[in-house]
Amino acid sequence: MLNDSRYVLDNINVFVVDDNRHMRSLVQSILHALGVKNIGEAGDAAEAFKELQHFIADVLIVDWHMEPLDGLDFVRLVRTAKDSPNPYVPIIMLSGYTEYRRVTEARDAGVNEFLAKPISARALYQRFAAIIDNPRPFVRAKGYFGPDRRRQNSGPPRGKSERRKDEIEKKAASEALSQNDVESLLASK
Amino acid sequence: MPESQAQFIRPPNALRKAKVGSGPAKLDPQLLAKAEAAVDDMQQHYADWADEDLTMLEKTLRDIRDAEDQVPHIKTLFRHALDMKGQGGSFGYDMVTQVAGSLADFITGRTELKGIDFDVVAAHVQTMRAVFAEDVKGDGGKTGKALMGGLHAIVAKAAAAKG
Repeated sequence: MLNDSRYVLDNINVFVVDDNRHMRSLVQSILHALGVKNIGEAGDAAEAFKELQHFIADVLIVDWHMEPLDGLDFVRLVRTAKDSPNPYVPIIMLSGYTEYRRVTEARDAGVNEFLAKPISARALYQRFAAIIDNPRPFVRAKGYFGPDRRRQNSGPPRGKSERRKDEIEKKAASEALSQNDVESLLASK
Repeated sequence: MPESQAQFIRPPNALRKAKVGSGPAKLDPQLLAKAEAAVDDMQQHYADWADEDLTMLEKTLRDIRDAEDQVPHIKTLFRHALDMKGQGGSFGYDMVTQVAGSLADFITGRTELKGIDFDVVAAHVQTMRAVFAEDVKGDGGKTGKALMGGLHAIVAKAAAAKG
């Protein structure tokens, strides 16, 4: 059977939060080329949270290293603040650091996807595809509110995934993980 | 509430509109090529961006020597190193990502720079200047190896001096 499934990003609204204007510009150029027409942006997390009261975002792209609020603070605000405009919005976290501790910290703050800097057009496109293909239920538990940290519909079988996680955990705490390692880590709790 | 009693919520899927058809989709090669071309087009600006960062690193390195409180300057150094680490590879300058990452790692956790530390920071900045002057892309081959060798030597010397 012919499979004509395709991603259509023309009608989704994306909001980019990064304190580096060049980085925002790079992300926006890629998004425009992929067909996204409606892109909002902010240079800091507080401004972004304010803007999101008016901009109906379907996806947020958030840099980790910002001041005074960093990307993790922002994700927690979006997920749990009483005045959050959309606690369920999918979030892609950008970071130049991909050590094990960082990735699990981002996951536990409630990000959906983690993308290592420097980014490429392909990697960003793939993160969008992952979010579109794997809408995850949300979990409200003691100490956590966010996307289910166990992916349901993708990735390797559970046993293999867990073995992969063990291998990643054995890596030195300071060692940067590859994007594949990051994906494996995000795929298992 | 223990995690075993977690409440599961299935929010409305706002991204349903972002996919046509059912079943697994593939990345559209034409769109991807367009997006990659958009990044290539930005390369002409990237040299200017990097120059801004390098100029700030050089200025901060001058200012920090006479500063009573080095912490704000160290934060500035880190900020620019991190920005360079995060951008170089997007434009084919993998060595910039590598060198700036090494600089960010060197600075992380420090509240003061002294002695050979200044030389280490300066060596990173000079190496990145050389990368742009020689237009060294990717890992830089022999040139890259020579540049990284010099950098590793001074980082090792600083580590030895620190004991």
